[in-house]
Amino acid sequence: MTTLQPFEVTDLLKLNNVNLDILTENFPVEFYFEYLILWPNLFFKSQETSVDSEETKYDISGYMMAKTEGKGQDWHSHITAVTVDSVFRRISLASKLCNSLAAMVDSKPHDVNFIDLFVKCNNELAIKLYEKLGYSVFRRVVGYYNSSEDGYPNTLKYIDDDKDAFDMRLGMERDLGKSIRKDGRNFKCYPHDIKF
Amino acid sequence: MSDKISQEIFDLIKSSNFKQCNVKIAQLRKQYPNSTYYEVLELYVKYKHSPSKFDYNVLNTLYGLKGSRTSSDIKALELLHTFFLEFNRFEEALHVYKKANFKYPSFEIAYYWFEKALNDFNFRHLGKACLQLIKYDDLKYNRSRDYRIWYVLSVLALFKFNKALLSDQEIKILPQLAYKTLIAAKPFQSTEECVVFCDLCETLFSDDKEKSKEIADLILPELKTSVDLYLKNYMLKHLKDNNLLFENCQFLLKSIDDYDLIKKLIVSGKQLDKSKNEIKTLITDLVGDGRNSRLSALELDLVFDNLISKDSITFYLEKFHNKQCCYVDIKRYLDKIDVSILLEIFHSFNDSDPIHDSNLFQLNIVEMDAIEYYNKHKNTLNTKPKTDYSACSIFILDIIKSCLIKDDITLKDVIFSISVLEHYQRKDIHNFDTRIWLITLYTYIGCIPLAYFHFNELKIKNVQNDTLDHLLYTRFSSLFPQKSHDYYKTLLNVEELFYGMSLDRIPSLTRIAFERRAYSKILGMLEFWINLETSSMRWLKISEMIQFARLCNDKRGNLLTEMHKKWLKIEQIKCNNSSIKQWSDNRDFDVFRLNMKELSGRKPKIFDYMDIAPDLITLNCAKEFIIESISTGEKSAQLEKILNTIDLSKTLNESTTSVEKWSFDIFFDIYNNNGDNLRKLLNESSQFEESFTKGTWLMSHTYLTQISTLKTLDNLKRIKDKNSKQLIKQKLRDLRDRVDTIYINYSKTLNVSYENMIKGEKYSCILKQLNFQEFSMEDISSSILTVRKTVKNL
Ligand SMILES: CC(C)(COP(=O)(O)OP(=O)(O)OC[C@H]1O[C@@H](n2cnc3c(N)ncnc32)[C@H](O)[C@@H]1OP(=O)(O)O)[C@@H](O)C(=O)NCCC(=O)NCCS
Repeated sequence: MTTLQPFEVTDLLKLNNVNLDILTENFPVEFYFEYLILWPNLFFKSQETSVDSEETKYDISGYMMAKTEGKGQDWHSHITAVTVDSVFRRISLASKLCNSLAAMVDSKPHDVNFIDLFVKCNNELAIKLYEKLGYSVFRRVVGYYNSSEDGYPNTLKYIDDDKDAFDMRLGMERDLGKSIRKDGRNFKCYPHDIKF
Repeated sequence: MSDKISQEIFDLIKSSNFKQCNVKIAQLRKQYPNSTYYEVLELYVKYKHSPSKFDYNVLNTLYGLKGSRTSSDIKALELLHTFFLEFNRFEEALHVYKKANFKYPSFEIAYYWFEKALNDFNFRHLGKACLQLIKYDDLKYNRSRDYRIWYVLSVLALFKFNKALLSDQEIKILPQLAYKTLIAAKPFQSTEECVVFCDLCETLFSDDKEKSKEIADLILPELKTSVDLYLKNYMLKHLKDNNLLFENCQFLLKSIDDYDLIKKLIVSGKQLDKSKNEIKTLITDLVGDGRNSRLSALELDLVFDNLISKDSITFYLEKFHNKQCCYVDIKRYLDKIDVSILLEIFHSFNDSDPIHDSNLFQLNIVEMDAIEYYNKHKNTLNTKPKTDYSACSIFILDIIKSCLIKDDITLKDVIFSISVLEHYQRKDIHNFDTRIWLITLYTYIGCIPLAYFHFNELKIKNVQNDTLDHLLYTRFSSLFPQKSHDYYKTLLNVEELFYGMSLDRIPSLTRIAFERRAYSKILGMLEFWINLETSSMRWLKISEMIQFARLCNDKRGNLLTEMHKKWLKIEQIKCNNSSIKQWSDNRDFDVFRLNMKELSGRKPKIFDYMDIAPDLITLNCAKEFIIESISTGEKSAQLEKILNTIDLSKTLNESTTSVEKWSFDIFFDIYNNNGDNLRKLLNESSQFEESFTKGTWLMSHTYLTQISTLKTLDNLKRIKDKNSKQLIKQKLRDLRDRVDTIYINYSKTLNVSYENMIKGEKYSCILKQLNFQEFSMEDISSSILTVRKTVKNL
């Protein structure tokens, strides 16, 4: 029984069921504040009404943290984090969070051209999830996940599935297919190319 | 009047170089005879030079509530604000701005007033400052409308946090004034503005049907063009017309799959005489065939027939019997479902999946026990992806919880649970449900280095520290005070990065939220900010840090100054907000997945080391202030105030460990009684022998609390009596002489408990059944050795 609700900063105090997950990033509070301030309605949670509040405070089953950025044709929404409590996985909750975001940014006041996100090239699971939702690979960002020891990439020749990200995109109708690139997986770019 | 000169003066104050400071001030006063700022600064320097001799009335007569002077100099106002705050004069600190605005109105002063009021959590002043700001319309940016909204937010905050202190007149007039102020800003230009209007009508006019209708009228057109979750919520609450509800729920369900919308669609549909099937089909058409739509079959049954049909349960279960959400969903309807039918349906599905069985198990409708289920599914642990969590942990946790949730818990129970969990953790390495228990069990038996290892594996960061650090850092200074260990370094890091940098930035971020018009988030931000300022874990750590410094004979001056400053903030928050009375307990205990309802709210004994009542935190802080006061020989009003707010004897008898009580009694006796009972109290330490033989965390805690108490006493110049001094030294020697024996014996006891567990029927049998036989005590012994070495050095 999921209802979608706006994320409030106080929710950060009852999120361990979701955020203790090993693949989920815990940002400094300033970062959450930034999203809530600049994109208050693109940060939302799925809340479980069937959870008995006398038993546990964990009624948040997942959340979506997104923003809007870019100019002209590049005006788009970016998914920064989407994550789901393990108890509520594999029931299309992440898909639902992504679809809801699409509905929101496809309406006023956002009216974006596309949504994008970055995913590690070897994260088959997540790539599959997004592909099922209609996303496709637009380009490969070489060295996106490079550590400080790896340094900034100085060539696009060498690829590494563990260091590179796929920039995946979902175009809205108004985008007229411009976010779909047939050979996106082979189209390489530098991390600085993805700044908006 | 450059900032550089001011800084120079403040630096001189900080280094207590008052001679030079006075020379400088005299020069400046001569150079700028008309400067209010330097006049106030001169007064401030006098105060800082000898606080106890300073006559507050001088300041009060000039700038207090009935003061004769008003300044419009921003720097002077700022300094006056700080000055009054140092005397706990929270109202006066803002009053200077109010007066300045009255006499020399300007946008700048009003804005500073707003900023200070926000920082001070004084929402009454915040509102007044906003009313001033409204007067300064900026045609280019049309900010005046923004200030109207800021004003309404201030009133909402005032009612949320300080309602009990509002006068009847304020309660009557402020909502009306807020409403009028906001109406003048119509038409609203964003969803955020609409949300403020709805919030105002909903919370401050809760029984007003007209206002409720106004909300509905405002949001209906908005909903047509933008998908917004706040507006959805207001619609669900305030739209009363069934036709409109039915139509709008459908409209929104096309964009978002939301169970609240589905429920309203069902109820309004029924009112409109739609058939059950018609609504059922409609829901699936709108949101597709998913969890919400299948669950809605159960809801439809209830609304139409008050009885859940077998078909509906089957419809839901055929898709979700092997998903973990199933247990949570079905439990909600369990009292309306015939359990035998439920079981029959469950059995009709393939049960080779651990999640299927875990659902049955959690619903408590099966005959097999946790061990049998675990064994049935343990092979799946070998094939699952590393980052997926296994439902097998549900069975494992059930096994250990049944030995741990009791009052007479033994070391044998704990070691058994550790051996089960350590085995399991290796197969499900990222499972945090199990790891959380390991942290607690190791801390309970005083093996902090091992507990830290598991804590570190969870990569706990940022705000998580505030909600989870109690697992490992409650009473840390008497558990494992080792400066060079990452256990302590991590704690310092949190102190600096989270409670320092992040918390410091929240005030300015909240102001930015006003500026950037993120109105819907502001009340939440204020609440969060208060939650962190008054966080119980934060304050526990603050007092523990000082206790740690005493234990190591480190200088405590800076820590105490900081603590006073932070304490002032707490007083300010409480003084300005009647709703904040206690510490904010952000500690997460739900992470143990215990059903507190079933335990009737009583925490199990294994949590004893984390058992910190709110008044104990206050008491711990008071204790550090008492020791400070004993050293300086000055009584402080702040300390007296704290002591008056807590029920000392109740807290000491009900909330402390016996050694904490002993330690407090000693210092309090010196503070209050000139140490008349010191020797008697010192000799009472013999009562702690039992903790040394029983072991657990209490052993280090008892030992180290005694050491820190005795070391502090040993350093107190106030104790003049030779015999007492000797007794202190002797007690210290005696304790230190025994440290090796105490820990060696404890290590032996742990090993014996392990042997007993292996030999005993019950636990060895379970371990055999689980195929978890071999478990080495080596790690535990070496962890205890590390603690022993640390303790020995103190
Ligand atoms: C990734 C994650 C968000 C998926 O959440 P979810 O709600 O379970 O996802 P969905 O149910 O919507 O899954 C949609 C599809 O993704 C794929 N998928 C998702 N999780 C999967 C898993 N553990 N194994 C295999 N496939 C998986 C499947 O194809 C699935 O469809 P299916 O269930 O019909 O087979 C969740 O596992 C999670 O929170 N992980 C940690 C944080 C994270 O990695 N976020 C993504 C960063 S890019």
